[in-house]
Amino acid sequence: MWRRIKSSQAFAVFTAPLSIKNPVSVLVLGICSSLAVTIQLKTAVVMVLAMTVVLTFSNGILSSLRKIIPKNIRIIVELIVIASLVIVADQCLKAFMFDVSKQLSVFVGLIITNCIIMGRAEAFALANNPWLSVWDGLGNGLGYGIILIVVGAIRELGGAGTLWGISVMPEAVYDMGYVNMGLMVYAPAAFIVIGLMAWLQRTIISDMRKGS
Amino acid sequence: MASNRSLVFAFGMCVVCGFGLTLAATVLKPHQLRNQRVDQQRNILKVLGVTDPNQSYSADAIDDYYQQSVQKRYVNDQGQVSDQVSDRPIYLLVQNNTLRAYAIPISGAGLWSTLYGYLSLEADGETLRGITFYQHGETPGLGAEIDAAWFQSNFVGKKIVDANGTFTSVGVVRGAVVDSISPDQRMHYVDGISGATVTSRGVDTLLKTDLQRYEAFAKRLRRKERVI
Repeated sequence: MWRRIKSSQAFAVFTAPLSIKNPVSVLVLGICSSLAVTIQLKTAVVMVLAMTVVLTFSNGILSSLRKIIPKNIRIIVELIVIASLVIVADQCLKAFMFDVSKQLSVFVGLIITNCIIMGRAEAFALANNPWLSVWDGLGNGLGYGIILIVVGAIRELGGAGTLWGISVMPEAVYDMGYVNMGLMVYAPAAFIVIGLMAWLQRTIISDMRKGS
Repeated sequence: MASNRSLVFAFGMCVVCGFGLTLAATVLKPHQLRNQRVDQQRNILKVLGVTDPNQSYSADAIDDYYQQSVQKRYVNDQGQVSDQVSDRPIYLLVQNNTLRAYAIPISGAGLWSTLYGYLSLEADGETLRGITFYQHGETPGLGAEIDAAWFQSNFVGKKIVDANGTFTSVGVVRGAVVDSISPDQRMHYVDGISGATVTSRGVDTLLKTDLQRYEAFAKRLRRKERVI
């Protein structure tokens, strides 16, 4: 069973963005939101969830419509679908996770402009069937998520000494003269952390290629 | 013909998406309005010191507390409290028919954004009880320190009038109060945020402006008049 799953096309489509085709660290898409919402772990996770849901649905919907979308207006159609999904996601957050939606504020709306979504719609959904497209959406959402969550954790821990809002730095460390790193709460810190991760990942990938 | 098909398709998409969005917005509206209301109540209760800032409360608990203890009224030019809607809402903390404290909305320019919050005063009309900001877009670590407990607790117990009863407001100084203000004046000043001079000055200005707007009401309290 596992072997069948592993050799299926859907599995390959799903796992590629988690590693060798990661949208953030390899394809360098979706950087803007990675800088903005990674100050805290919690906002990063909610952003990832909203983004993954939108991406999965937009890929699925656009892929099922791919044969009837007139070629000359396809970008506009992609935008309509994505924008509608984002607004629905935003409304749901406002209704059920008000605190988080206040923190994310404009960034939820900006999911529309997240290059990953348009990129995957153009590059994958319009050329593949809905089943594969949904897996591609899910994979890319989570691939984006891995990076965001790691960066969010590093920045929250470094900048505020907390994780998920809970203080994890032991008091003793502060007593020894440790001070929270102010740089971590600014956007440049995200640039540096993401840059380091992209470097690390590319090194690992090229080692893997050499090895095989 | 091709463009005709495009038009029909585009129109169809608009209708479908428009319907979907309307449906979502209508269904979720009551939830969202309730959230906004509870959020406002939460901030008012916090600034009035009814709820413990270190504890989290459910939406229902907030609603209950608010209904029990807070009255939203309006203040007119003469400082009288009425139910006549004006641009000066006031939130009265009333227990056993006595006024314990009151909160007023405050807002003004910071560095990047407008700061919105509430300020609460004791029923004597001269002592600050608390301050909170619920919306702003200041720099984390600098201007956003207006959310920090050390900055907000700074204000508690400060006086908005001097010994002669003249209105002075509460000033935000650059750096620490102990370094620049003489001891007899310290009850009118709070420590500023280092690295956030513009935001600090913004808070200073908005306190002056907004306290002035409610001065007539505060004066009546200081004269020990019965206000409710």
